[in-house]
Amino acid sequence: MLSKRISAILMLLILVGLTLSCFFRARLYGVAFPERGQGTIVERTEAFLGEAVPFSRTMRSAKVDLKYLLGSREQEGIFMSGKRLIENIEEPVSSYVQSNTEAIIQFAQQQSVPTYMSLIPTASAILQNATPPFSDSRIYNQKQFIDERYKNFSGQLSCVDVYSTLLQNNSQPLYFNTESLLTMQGGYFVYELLSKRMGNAPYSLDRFEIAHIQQNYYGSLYDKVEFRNIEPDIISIFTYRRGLKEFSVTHTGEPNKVYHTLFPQFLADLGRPLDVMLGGQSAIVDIEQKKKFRNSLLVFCDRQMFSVLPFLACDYQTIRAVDLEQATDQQLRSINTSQYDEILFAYSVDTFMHSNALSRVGRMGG
Amino acid sequence: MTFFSLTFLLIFLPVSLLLYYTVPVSLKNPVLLLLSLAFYGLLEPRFFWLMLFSLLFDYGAACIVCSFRDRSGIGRLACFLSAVKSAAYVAYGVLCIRQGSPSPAGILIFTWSATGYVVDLYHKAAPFERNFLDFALYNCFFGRIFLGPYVKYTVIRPQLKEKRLSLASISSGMVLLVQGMAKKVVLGDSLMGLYQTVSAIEERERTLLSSWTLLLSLALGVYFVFSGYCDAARGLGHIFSFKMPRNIFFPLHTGSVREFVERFNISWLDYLRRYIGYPLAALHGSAVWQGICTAVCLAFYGAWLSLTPRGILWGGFLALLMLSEKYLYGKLLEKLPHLLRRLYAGLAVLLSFALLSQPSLHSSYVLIKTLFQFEAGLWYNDAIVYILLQNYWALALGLLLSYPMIPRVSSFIRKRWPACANIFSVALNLGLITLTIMFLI
Repeated sequence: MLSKRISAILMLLILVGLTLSCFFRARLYGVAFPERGQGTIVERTEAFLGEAVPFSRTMRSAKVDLKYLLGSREQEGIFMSGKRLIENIEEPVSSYVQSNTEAIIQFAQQQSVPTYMSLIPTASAILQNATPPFSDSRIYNQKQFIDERYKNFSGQLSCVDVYSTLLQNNSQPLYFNTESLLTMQGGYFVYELLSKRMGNAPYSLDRFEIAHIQQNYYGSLYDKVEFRNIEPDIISIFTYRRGLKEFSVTHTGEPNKVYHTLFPQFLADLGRPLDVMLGGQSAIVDIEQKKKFRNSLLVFCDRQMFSVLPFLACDYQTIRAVDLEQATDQQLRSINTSQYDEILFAYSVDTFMHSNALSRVGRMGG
Repeated sequence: MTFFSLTFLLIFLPVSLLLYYTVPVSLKNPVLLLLSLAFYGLLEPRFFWLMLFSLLFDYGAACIVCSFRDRSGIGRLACFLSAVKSAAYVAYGVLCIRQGSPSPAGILIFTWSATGYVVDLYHKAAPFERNFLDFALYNCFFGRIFLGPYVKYTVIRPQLKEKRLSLASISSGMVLLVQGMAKKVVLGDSLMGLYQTVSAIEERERTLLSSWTLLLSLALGVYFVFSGYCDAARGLGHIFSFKMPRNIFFPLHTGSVREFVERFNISWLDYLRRYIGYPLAALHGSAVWQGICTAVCLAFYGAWLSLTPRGILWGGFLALLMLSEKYLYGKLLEKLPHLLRRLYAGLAVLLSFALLSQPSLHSSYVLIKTLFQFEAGLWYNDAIVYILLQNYWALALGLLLSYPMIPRVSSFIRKRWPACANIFSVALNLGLITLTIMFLI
């Protein structure tokens, strides 16, 4: 009985101590109670306590470590392989895939300019040698999915297969360790293939100067699975070194922004290191070379392409990158596709499978 | 909000304790009722008024039974109406499930508890409760709103009238609550997660190993989730000075299916026997009729676990096994060595879970077939090896802890080295609360 009394007293002290420290910590560190509209009062309280409890990050991380020690190499749909995290993607939503495919084909049929399509595989397909043993059955066959889509598009769009090249080069740092995104190194391989296929001569890698802007970056995958053994990412940018190319990047969205560089590095100091690439994602991003150059390109893409666009920007006078997820109907209607020399759809396989945003391309103007 | 949330553990529980233990004794029950209503309001805001209506309806029925004690027809009608109301609530729960949303929490508890009380009152087995607040508290005390236990009003009434507050009771309550939470959050949820993962494997890719893993994870998962809820309910009962009986007692390690049934959901089986089994059995003495009564009781027993035809089938299958034990091979079973009897019971219970795990009888049959498919090449594949590598710990720990090992080890150590036992117990409880919070964040 003595042990129960001591246990109970200690447990009550722990509970009361945690409750009180939640509120002190919230005041001290500014943990805000979620606003109305972000769920029921219980859901909001739960979210608040999850952040405000002392040592919450340590406890989350300890839970992940404990499960890892016990053998769980996949948590929250993320593979943990020694030094990196790889997001496993779910089965596709067939209705989304169908509506996206139909909308793109319909759109391509209306265009008089060359239209290209590229589906970019995620890390779980390319870095299969880094996934846990026996996990093949859990990994969706993206190669087959891409091939099927390209078969659907054949005759309507020119498809650019980047899968094989990325797979061949999977020993290089193609993807971030803690993000489901291509690094600029990975982006270069995609650019090289796209550029060749679109009739340009891709710039060789030695024409770019590499700068490391952040050494200890922990991305969104790490936020989901706080696994301590992970090697943080180094965020690098590749700037064109010869020929003094100058660019301006205009973001149309909320709010409108203009950067006079492809890589506004001050954003890293503001805690947004990934936004250093083109200033982050907006509904419409216009990239313009200041010197007169050839051709213009309209790109429909997701965030995955932001490590490719800085390379592509070297090949075109103007590039307009449209995010179909964020763009309003009015913005889409205002785009005149006939003004562009080429059109490119470049999406991550994950977005194509699990978002029907691409079907909004049907709402475009002429 | 459930018991298994930070909101409950860090806000609702400390506030409830503070309120309950600072108000005078005369206000303790009203405060506890208010807390229970607030808990239900946060848990099922859409269903709150329906629960209040149910309480008022049953109290009205109880008043009618009490007022017309000498006119049994009216009393019987009141009992009947209360049962019809409770059945209607359950039908609503079934409708919710058919529409793809979960059945409202506590629907089987506050409806049938109150109906049981009305029937007891009619049979003069319980006194009339003049205080509606006490009646309401008995039915909707937040500690037992999820999965019971079903306690007779005559057991709870003395505890409602005379509060015995003690540090000992709070202490054992806290320990039970934390142990229940750990059971559910750490093991129950992990095992149910494993079950979901294995059940996502397509039927044509199922192997011997995946089929056994599927059934084992479901049986252990159900046990640890249910046991977690029951321990938490008992713990909260102790904390707020209600002594509630055990509702589950190591059911997976028994020597017969009958023993499993009697240890799995003790209070619900007792309830069914009291209000359905015994009255029906009293109508006729033949063995066939007794068998039918058992089957009816166990069909309801199964429906409690899953408000679907599968639940009823599960109960029916258990009844079939129980009757077979009674009339066919019971004596043979008794002569078997202890280990073989356990193997038989374990296998029978696992097979019964095949009915719960599959959407149709045919797929249950296919699953059972794969359990005994010993052809080479069909034993295992990469998918199940991968899943087991990720989750073997939950399965192993589940198997170990479903056996009454800790109580035995603990009592052994307590006898030999009492001081060590105390230290071990404190360390274990503190470890469990830390682990629980870790898994809740």
